Amino acid sequence: MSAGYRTVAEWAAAAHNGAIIYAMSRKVPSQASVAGRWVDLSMTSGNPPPNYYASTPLEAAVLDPFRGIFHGDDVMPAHKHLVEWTLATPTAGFRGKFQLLDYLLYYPFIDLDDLDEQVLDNTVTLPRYESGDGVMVMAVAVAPTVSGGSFTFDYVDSDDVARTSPTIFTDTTAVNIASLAASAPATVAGNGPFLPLHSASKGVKRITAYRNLVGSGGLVALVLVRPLASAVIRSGNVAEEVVFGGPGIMPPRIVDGAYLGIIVNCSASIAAGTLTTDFIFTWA
Amino acid sequence: MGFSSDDDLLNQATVNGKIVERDFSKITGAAAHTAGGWHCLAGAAGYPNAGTYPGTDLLWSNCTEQDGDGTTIIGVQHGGLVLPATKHLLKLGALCVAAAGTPWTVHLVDLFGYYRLSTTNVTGTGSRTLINTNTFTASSSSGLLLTYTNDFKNYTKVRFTTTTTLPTGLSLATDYWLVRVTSTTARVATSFANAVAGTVIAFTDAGTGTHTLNCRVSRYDGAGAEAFFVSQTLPTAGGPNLSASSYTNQAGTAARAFQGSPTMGATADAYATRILHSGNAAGRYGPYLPKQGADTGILSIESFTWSGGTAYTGTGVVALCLGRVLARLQIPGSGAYMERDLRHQLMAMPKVEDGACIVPILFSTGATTANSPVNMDIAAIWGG
Repeated sequence: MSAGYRTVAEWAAAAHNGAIIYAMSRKVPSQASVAGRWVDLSMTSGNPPPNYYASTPLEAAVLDPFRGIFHGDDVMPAHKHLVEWTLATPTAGFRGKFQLLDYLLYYPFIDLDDLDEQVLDNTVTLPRYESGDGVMVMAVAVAPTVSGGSFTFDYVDSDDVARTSPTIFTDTTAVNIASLAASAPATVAGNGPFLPLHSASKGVKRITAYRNLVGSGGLVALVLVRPLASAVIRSGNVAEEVVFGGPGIMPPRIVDGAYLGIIVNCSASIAAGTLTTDFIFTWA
Repeated sequence: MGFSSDDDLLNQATVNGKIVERDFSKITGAAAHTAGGWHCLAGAAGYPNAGTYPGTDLLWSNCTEQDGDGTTIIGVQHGGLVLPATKHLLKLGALCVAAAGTPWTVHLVDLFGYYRLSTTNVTGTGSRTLINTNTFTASSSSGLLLTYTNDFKNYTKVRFTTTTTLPTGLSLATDYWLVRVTSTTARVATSFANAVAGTVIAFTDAGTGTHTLNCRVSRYDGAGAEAFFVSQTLPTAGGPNLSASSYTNQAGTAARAFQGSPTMGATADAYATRILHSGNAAGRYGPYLPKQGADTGILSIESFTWSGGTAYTGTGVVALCLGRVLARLQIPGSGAYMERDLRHQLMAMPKVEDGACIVPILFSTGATTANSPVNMDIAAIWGG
């Protein structure tokens, strides 16, 4: 029997048969952020506990899946899928777009001042999506930046070709901890959440080196992620619900061992704000 | 191909994994948008990277997912080749964060290709004859090798004609794809998939007589194709009218003409990424040039004339693009992420042909802040 849902009936039966898990997350960030920038909520207080990308500098590392948004135990040979995602907030700054990511691998403590090449250790490799196809890179500030830097990085893409990124500009004003350092809107750093890649690349398998062209202070973690789903909060105090498999989008697959976390494109500072999200996963 | 039922759709996504989601992000442009204009974001910074409409002036420049504009991958990567299955869009989402300019409209366009214009082809007032054909000779070099004059892009779709007999392996009235070797040579594949795989026609003989290759739009045989002029480098001044044109429609009828003598934008409305004939001023049309009569598509454009109004000056670069709209989405306000359910809403699940070079174009109701991010995402699924 194949994993996944061969029919709508099988999909409906999964929950009926108990192949279902509910999970929730509540985040109360302590870090200030800026309207229009993306923020990595895995670094913020609440449930699940914050992740600080703390391990040996410049060495690839993975996160413990049970410290991300809980989605149950492994289900192989079945396939697990996200079928519903609900979000609610009383905080104006949390109105914006959200993305659910599988955090695959990170390179901690990359120095944004050092003008020498920083060679990255890849003893640890991608634990999921091993080819790198569809794997994107985030630059998450783990110590506040000053502003106005630029950098490139070398990587191997999903076609096993060594590439160098185009020149990437960090935000033109200081970036606080947990914000994405190259995501400021209305500036040359307006890349969105993910760093631009070489034009022929469809994803990243590993990053081999990082070079500052102009220093900007602070430290970032380069994080390899696989985007899974998106949602939006348009109004405070009203729950927003995304039902996958209903409107438009198929239920995204959650691979065993996934570390799930959320990033948000906030509409104002989310410091001391509250975000509650809950999830339903089923498998077959 | 396609999907026989909701069960089939769900099965292909969750059992067979034949689904891809892609996020991409562009800035609105390096210059603030003026009100009422359309902008092709293929030339704007972001991911996929910005293109500059490279190539030879006046020559048909084919665009694909795999090779972009021949220099830069400018289209969203949507999962590669799936034939004999068919790929369909499930959803389109977009978010624009800008201090001003709301509301916006996004069109997701399969950019078939373009004709590059620069120097006197931008500033001139005479008829510009576009290049869709070349004569060629055939020889042997790891397969049948064509040698011609112009630098056609990789994977350009062509048909062949001859005064006598085509080289063995080539037939009249049949589609082929070029596999570019140098700026004046290419091998030939019998399908797009073969071209991407490098599987080419073997050399047997060179045929006899004079042979001609004729470019065709890459996908849909031109059905649903729209044409639009995009500025890549701002001309210094001017604003001419499209006073004459000749194109071949989707049925193969030649000598058709775009209607209405659209006026091209003057300096304030001709900045990079701007669709030149869009805007609020008199004589503007947008985003696409009005076709003649009941024409619903375009196979090729043979010529056009910009005259009347004021001729452009300076060193501008403009592309005359051909593409097909796949999906549309309204964004009512800054920071409002909007999503189009293409599974249930008409036009339901538009088809994405293999090789589609998907780029966004953006309409700004009001004057829109420069360098504002436009974050977009698509989901595509295929069966079979």
